Amino acid sequence: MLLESQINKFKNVSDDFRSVYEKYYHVILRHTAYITGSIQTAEDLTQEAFIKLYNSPPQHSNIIAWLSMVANNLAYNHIRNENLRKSKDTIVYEGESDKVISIEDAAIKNYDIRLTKKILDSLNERDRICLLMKFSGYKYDEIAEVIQVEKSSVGTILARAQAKFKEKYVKGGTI
Amino acid sequence: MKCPDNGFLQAYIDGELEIDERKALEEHFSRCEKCSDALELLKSNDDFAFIKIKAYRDNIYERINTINDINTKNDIKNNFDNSINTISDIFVKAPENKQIQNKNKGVYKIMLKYKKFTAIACSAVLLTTCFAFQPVRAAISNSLLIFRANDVKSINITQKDIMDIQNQLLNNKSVIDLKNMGKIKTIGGGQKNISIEEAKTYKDINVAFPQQPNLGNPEITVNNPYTMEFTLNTASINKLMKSLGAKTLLPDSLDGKTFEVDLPSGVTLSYPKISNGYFKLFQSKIPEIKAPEGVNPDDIYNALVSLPVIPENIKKQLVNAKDWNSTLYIPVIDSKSQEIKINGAKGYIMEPSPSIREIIWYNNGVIYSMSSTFDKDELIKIANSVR
Repeated sequence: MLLESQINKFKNVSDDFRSVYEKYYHVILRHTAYITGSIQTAEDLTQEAFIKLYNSPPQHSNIIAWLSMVANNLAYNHIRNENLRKSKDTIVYEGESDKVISIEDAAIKNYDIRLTKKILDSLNERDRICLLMKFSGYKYDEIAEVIQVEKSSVGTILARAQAKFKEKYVKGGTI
Repeated sequence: MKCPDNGFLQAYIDGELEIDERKALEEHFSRCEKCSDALELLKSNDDFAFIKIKAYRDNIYERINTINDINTKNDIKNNFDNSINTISDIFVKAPENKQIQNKNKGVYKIMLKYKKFTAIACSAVLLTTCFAFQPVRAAISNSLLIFRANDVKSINITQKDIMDIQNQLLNNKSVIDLKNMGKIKTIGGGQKNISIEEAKTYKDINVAFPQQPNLGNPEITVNNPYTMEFTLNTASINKLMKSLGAKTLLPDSLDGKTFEVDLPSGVTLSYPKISNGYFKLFQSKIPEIKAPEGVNPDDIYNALVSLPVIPENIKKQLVNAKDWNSTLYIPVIDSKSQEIKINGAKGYIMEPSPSIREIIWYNNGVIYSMSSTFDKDELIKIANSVR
């Protein structure tokens, strides 16, 4: 009897969870892939976000907002850590990095898009997060909170990041 | 107003200014050519970045959709099961009354815990239970192998087969009444990380490592052994099977009989140091089903194989699998597999997506499965070095 009631309880919880999962998995996956630039990474992060949801569901009802927030934070942290790691690695692999093409990159057949990814990867994480957030529709106050600057600085950072992006792109196109 | 800085102009472009700020600025533009020019430049940078980043985003979305087309709902389900895996310990119960007759030792199948290793086959009690029963599905996780010692063979499954099974089961969802199917008890489960030293002396399984120093040190995750005890209620199961259109049913002699399914501990080695790709190795002893005395596993097998939800294509292969008692069947999707030898043992190499390769082989009672972005030759070389 006890087991049965446990099973039923479990089933109800997991049915709710399943429906949320099926509904939002792709939304979250797409966004984290866009931010991190890697589908592989995005899958891991999306997974992690849902595990967090399962282990400690939020009190309020707006699940997707909560999920997006958690997934976003995971993605931004990932970029930060990756950049940190890269800056350490560059010393070792200097000169090699241009020749090494990752699997993820190889999957992108279009040259333009590969170049875009390369340039996004080369920007510092603040500029990169700023650009990616802006072009997925975030407002300045939301961007400011994530990159931890005053809202009034966001315009300046964006203006510079966009100029830098274009400059690098034009240069990259001629190499 | 005096000439604003670029940040202010950018905020104007992005519609982030208050109405009065905007009006003042527009008025300023009409008088200040320098600022108008600056605005034009910023706008062109903005447009440029927008077009490129949008193309980049569309490309990512498109690639994700392509992956979905390959894996469709299945992958979502599998990922879901992965997520839900963590909560299987809700069901940990004390091992009581565990003594079960185990004369007919046999192994039916396992689902390997691999994200991309998407495959479904079928057999035995587990089929019904796995699809219908959350905790079991969670415990066994992703892919599923039909299973035996001595030999390995592949069974071809197409994506369409998998979807067919799922659609069928989905459409029949309403009639699946878990409560009456029988009792299930699970013991053990959960996972932990251990160090390399701990792994070398790990008692459940003799952990093998690839002898390739360039991979760096692995992170090691152990899935604790997991036992499930099923006590069947054949009347209910048969009712379910009938609702799925089955003609062959479980014999009444199975009613109330308890099966024990032992999933031994599995060890996953992953190598975080690899910067341009990934490599994972999973190893586990073969799971076992201990059937009670007087039960003929063939009865169950035949009944389940005849389930109409199982697509013809797979059914034929399963029915013809006469040696199912002694052979490990590996479901292979869309026949994209090739038989290879790993250290003299038979194995298969598969390419579930253009950039991912998997090798699965069976040696001395242990099943090994690796997944990686490395190229074929490299991966085979690594597989051969595992000891």
